[in-house]
Amino acid sequence: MDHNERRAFGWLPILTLVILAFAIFANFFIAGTDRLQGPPQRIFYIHVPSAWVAFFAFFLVFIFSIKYLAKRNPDDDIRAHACAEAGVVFCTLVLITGPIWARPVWGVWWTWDARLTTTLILWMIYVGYLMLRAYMTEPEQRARFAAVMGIIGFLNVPIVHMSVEWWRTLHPKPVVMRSGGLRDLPDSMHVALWSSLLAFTLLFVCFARKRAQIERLNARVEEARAAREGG
Amino acid sequence: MRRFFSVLSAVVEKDLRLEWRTKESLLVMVVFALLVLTLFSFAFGPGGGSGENARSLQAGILWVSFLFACVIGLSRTMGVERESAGFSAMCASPADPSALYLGKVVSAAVLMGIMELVGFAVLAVLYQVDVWKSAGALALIAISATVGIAAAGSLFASMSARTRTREVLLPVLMFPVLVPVLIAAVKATEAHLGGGGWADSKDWIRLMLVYDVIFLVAASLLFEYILEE
Repeated sequence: MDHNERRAFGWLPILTLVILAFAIFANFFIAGTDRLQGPPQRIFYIHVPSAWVAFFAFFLVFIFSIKYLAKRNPDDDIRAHACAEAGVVFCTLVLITGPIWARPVWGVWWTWDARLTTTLILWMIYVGYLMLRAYMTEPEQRARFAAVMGIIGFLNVPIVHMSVEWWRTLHPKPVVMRSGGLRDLPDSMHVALWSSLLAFTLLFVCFARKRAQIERLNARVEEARAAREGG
Repeated sequence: MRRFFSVLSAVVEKDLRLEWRTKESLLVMVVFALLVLTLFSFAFGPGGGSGENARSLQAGILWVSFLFACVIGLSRTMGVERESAGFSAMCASPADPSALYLGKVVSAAVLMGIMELVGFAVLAVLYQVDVWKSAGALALIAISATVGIAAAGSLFASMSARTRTREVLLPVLMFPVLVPVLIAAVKATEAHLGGGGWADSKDWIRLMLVYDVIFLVAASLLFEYILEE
């Protein structure tokens, strides 16, 4: 990361912290308590933004993977890697907050609902992506294989979702809360949801940038080591 | 176009000839599938239990066994390429990478198909399933599922064969991506074993065919990047 980049993005983590603090405040003090679900509903403001960020991150992995194969710029590979790792973190958060929310509201930790199941499979695909990277040593080959995996993994998402949805509808419906859509939310909940969404997105950008920066430094260390051993 | 098919058939011929001479992977696949089918019988009670759940259980047992056996076959066919420097040869050859990939898919699918034939026969005997009654439907289901497994599997096997851990990574990469095929194959098979018929199975078969087309197209375009050295 050169000096300009540092100066341009130095304010981003601070802004993220401020918005995150506001989002937490909005979650507990601005948004009203849900009449049916009570306080557990507040996990919604963490669960939904995490899910959005995870899907967004995997979409970015897809884009950077295509870009890498087209242009062969090692930096796109680093970006895809950083997005995948940050995406898996948020996807894990979805899978942890989901059961915590489901337990008091639906009475079960887990239900094989289409969205939950798709998220679980998505998580497995991208953990596989990270493992593939971890078990390969040659950087150029690793970048190509990972890019192929990043593209295939994302193409698979709609098919997985469709198949899981059909799979579930053939069975008796579980006791799943069907929300009436975003329009039914009162204003106070909108404030909490959207501020949290913004905060989580910025947090993701910070994580991914930091991760990419570390990876670039790693690449430089490797280069220097190879140069010393070679010379 | 003619060149494309001559490359494709050359790869298929080479793989099947190799298999015919050594009979390495097919034998392991068949025995493994048999073993898993038997193990499930021990786990769930003789014949997968009784009652109305038995049919869906049997369909699940069948396809999970097939999927496991396919992993073994796939890691073998790509392992052979690695050991005999086949990847370097494929990379150096001027042949179209998509043709090489589709050749590997076809040869893998043929081996899987033979293994599945034995599997269905064993299912009929051990689990008292009337396979003949809906043989045509089961064949169509098996073909559409096998093409999907071979399409995704060959791509991932060619990657995992060249990682540090070799074949160990293959199921980790392959199974999550194959979830739609597994669900569809089990549901369609269940429909025909349980007497539901085409009405219950046609959407699932269509889903598998869509999956097959998407994967064959995407993977044959991407295989080029796997081959590069």
